[in-house]
Amino acid sequence: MQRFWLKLALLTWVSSPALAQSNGSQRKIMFGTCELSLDPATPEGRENLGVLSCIKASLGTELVFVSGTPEENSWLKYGNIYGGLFLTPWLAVQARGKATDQIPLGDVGEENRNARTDYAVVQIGNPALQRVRMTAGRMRLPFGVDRTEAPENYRVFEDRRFWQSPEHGAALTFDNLTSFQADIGYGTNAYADRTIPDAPSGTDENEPLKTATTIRIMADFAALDGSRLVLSGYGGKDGERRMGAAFTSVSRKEDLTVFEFVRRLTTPSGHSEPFSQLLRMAYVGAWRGDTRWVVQFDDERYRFRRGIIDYDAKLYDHAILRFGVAYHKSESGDDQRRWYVTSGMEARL
Amino acid sequence: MTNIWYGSLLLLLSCLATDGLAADKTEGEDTSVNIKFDDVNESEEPEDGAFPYAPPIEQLFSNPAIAHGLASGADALNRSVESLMDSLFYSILDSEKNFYMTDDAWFNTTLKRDVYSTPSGAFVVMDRFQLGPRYAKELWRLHNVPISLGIDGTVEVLQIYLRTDGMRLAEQDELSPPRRWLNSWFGLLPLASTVMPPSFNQNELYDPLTELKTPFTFPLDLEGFYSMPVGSIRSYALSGGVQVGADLGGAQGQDSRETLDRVGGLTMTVPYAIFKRGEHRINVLRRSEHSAWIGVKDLRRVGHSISPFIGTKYSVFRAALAAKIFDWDWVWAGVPIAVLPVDLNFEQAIADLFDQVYEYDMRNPSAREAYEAAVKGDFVPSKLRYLDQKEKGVDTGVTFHFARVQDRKEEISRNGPNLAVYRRERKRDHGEAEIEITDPDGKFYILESSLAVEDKNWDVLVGDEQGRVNQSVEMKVRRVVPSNTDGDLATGHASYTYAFEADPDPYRLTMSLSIQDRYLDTVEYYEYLDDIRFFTGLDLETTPKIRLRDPEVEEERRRSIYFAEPTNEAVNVHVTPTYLGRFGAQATLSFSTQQLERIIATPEDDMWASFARAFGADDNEWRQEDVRHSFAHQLNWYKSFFLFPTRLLNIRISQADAIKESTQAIKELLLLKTLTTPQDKLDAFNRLLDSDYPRHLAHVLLDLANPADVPRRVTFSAQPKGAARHEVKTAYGKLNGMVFKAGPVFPEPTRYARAKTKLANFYLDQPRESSSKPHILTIEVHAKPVPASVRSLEEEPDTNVQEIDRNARHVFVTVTASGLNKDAEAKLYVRVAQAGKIKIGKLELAEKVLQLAPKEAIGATSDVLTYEFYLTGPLSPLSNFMLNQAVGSGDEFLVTLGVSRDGTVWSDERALEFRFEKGRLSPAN
Repeated sequence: MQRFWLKLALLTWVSSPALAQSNGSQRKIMFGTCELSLDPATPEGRENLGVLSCIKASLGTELVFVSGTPEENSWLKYGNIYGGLFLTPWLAVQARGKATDQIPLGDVGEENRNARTDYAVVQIGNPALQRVRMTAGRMRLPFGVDRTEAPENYRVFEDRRFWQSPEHGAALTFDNLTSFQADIGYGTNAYADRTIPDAPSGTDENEPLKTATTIRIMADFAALDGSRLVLSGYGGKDGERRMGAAFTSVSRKEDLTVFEFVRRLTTPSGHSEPFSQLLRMAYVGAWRGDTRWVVQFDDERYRFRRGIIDYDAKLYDHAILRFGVAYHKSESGDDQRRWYVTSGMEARL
Repeated sequence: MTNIWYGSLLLLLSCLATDGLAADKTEGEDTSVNIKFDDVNESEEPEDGAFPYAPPIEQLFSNPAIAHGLASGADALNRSVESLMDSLFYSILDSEKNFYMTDDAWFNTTLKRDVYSTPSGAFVVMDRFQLGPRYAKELWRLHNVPISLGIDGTVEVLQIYLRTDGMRLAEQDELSPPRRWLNSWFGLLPLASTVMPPSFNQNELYDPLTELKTPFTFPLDLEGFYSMPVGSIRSYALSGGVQVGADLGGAQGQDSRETLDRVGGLTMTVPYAIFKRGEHRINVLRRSEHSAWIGVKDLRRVGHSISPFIGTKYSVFRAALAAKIFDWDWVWAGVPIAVLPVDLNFEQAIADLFDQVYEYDMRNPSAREAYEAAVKGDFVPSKLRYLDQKEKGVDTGVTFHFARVQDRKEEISRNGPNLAVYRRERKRDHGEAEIEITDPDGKFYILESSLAVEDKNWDVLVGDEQGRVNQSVEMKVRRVVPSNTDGDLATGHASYTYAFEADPDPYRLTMSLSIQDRYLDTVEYYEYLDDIRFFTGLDLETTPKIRLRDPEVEEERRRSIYFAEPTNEAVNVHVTPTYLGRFGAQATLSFSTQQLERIIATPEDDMWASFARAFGADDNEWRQEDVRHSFAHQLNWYKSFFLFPTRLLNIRISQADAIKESTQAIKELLLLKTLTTPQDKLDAFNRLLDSDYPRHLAHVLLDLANPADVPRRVTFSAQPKGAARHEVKTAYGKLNGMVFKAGPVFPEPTRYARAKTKLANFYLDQPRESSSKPHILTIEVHAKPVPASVRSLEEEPDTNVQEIDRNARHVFVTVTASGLNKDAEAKLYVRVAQAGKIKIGKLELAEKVLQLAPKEAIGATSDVLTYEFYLTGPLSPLSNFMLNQAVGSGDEFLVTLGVSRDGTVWSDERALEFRFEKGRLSPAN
């Protein structure tokens, strides 16, 4: 599976100049940064629309050095590819696949490969134009912010239980296109032959999910150039309940600040347990010249506190060097504090 | 081997990448960026006779922001905080320590700093020291309700002074290195200012030593007076009180206790207290270089209060910092944050107040002598010197302004949930007073009824917005002593009544609305305009029209979001209403006796119709008496009744309360038809003003009067800020100084109004006469190379001569200003920061006070002077590593400027943004 995704990414990359034909002012196939040349809400912009596609891909590798325990050093390779086919302003198909391969450099652990489809959906309605939209297919149900720009090795240990959902589903969106958006999602694993995606290592929660319903309400206000309050709820038929509250702010230069809080009330099996809780604070700086900063802090109740400061620099428009320092304090395992230094390189379309 | 292939592949892909897919870059034309600022009319007496409405005179020498603090000494002051980051840092300079003598008695010491912003951009710093014994003992406990006794006495010293960034930097140049380092916390303060969010204010923490000196700063002698900065205030007070209280919250059941505890450790208290308090306060204001104003205030209050409270305090970041030094373990207790879903206070009191104000010319020996006695509480020499001057014509330098005795009935309430990151608060001060004032022209009497309602919303992101409505009825009266008063005098009972003065306008109602918002967006802008239209009946047609959302940004968003991935929906924030900057508005209405009589004479049905219109009800229905008496109409009372609990959370729904407000107000208006004596009218007006909807009441009264005969006036202030496009900011900036008027001119100020106007000059953002403050008129920025006349950049004999790049262009700034001395160098405060909202740091690049000589005077007699300097490049006096790096890589810059003659009195700060990249200058995006 991993080889498939890597090959697809390579093929896309190499063939990109040939595919990058343009028809009039609007490029029909876009790579990397995808943007219309005209406002789609104007008659001229609508005329300029046709069948459009957007392709993004990245490949990268990261080395992780652990202070004090060199046997935990590791090497991570990763890649992901995205494709979107926008047939009309009403209909689009989008998919993203991810692959990671973590290879231990010391004596601890073993190679961990993972390749999967993040989502593959049909979207009826477009967020730029339509107030009511529907998304269906293999997807993450709308819940919380669920977004990180931290280095891949930091993401590997992300506790996905706070955002996970059944694999297949649909979401209905009402968006007033000015300040408010509500999403209602319904998902099921009835058509999936697999266990919980991304279950954190060391957990025994590997029984299949059944069905779940989510709701997410987002309200925007003018503070700090543009801010958003996100309130989410998740209810699974198996008894799991989650609630989330988040604040995001995007500056005019695209600096992104996120505060996210998620509380998970029961286990998927329906047995009650003391709640688990995650608090995330993240800052993703805009690219200023050829550099940017990414800062993220995660506090999971009774499991860990960890954070990373990451500095990214562009070598060329499509090659990025990443350098980060991370801290991880375990509160459930060996109760140790670890400092990590990570460096990596990524090629992007 | 696979890994080697993988790495090689990455390198190859990177090298294959071309710039062909990159966005096209356009090269902007060179241009200059310039701004002409409107010179706001700051004259003290408006030309048409309208006078600014001042707060009640008992708020002696107080800034509106600190009025409550001076009056109560309570910790109810709201720091003008813009972010949670502020409260994390600024509490460093707050300290409270209790020394227990017994279980029930202790000695309290408090040292505290509060900083308030002013519309001009300056900050008012208030350092406070309190010292005194406290005693609190539970006397009995009845059914879990503790009955307690509390006694306290306090000595309080305040020093209140202006602080601007320019003053801070100018002062630094004159200080010794150790003091300079101490003031800046050994360099940590400038560093923090560089990396903290834009809301971080250095002045909150700057100069801790001055705060520590607060207990010793009262100017008891000449030397002490001249050590005060011009425009500053020193104040000391002796206060004390006794109260007997019962916490009615103790009567709550165990179940409700447990429920509150489960919700988040909440507790409930409902303390009820009967109190008696007294205060003697002396304030000293250094009005100008040699002018001192001294005010004395004596206050006695007796009353009762109740303060329901549900909430708790959390310690944020507790144990986030810890240290172990030998055997001593230190763990940071964190930052206390109050979460108070219900926080109410209601107080009724009878107050006796005396205050008087003298002015002293400190160049006169007689005045100096009188001053030194007055600051110690002895005003007899001041009175004698004043009489010498008035009656014998001796120049003593002592001026008497006024003395006032006041008997007040007060109802003060405060209501508002405080959720640490959001607070919504209403303060209400309602009362009536009999006032005896003595000024240089003699003694006169005023009956006054007033209502002040202040609504303040605060959130952690953008700070506070504030709306304040003041309503005041003033009656010019004289005392009438009945002929047969001997018996009354013998028994000590009141022996006089009041009658209206023989004046064509014996009583007058003044209503004012004041709005201040530090972070205004376009939605709020139009809401405020509607609010002012509703209050004044003015159409405000020529106010700037600004689109709610920037159409260019909306278009940009649509073009990119068309391809948005479904997993990114949560961060695809809509284009929000445009942030415009700071906003202020002051609206005033004045109803003469004739207009008030006309209102009172209105038929009752018309009154109901008018209230219906104001509250959005059907005026045709409300006009009909049979409809008003119908069962369906009376059902409206239930809305008000059932929604009454929402007031606990400071939520009011005007439509629901319409019937209650209308019924009460109309009852008083009808009653006023029958009343004749001043006291009866005063009581009726006092009940009429007792409203939770003062804006609606103003609208109704204006509707019932003849609007053409009611003087109305609105003044706007606007300070464009933020990332909006230049055109939007320019349009919004035009609002600054706009004045709208209607109706006849405001009447000439009465003696009482003149005293209030005089008092308004004591607001701390006007440290001197406003005419003496310099003003920046224009700022122009353009790019130009180093002049040919400059041959080398050698600065010191042992340094190498640098090569000058004759082609490179640098940012050159030209400032014109008035109010400066053309024969001396001016001080120019310059701060350069990267423009735009960067969420974890404002990236301040340079900050300095320059001393510059004027280039030329524009016109032989003009006091408009021009100053020039290079902002960037080798000739820039601001040059440093960070600024040079930022200029080298190109960016948008925000430059803030202020000018001063002496480093003490500064102009309002002005700011402009521009983009400078590779020698090209263009307006900011």
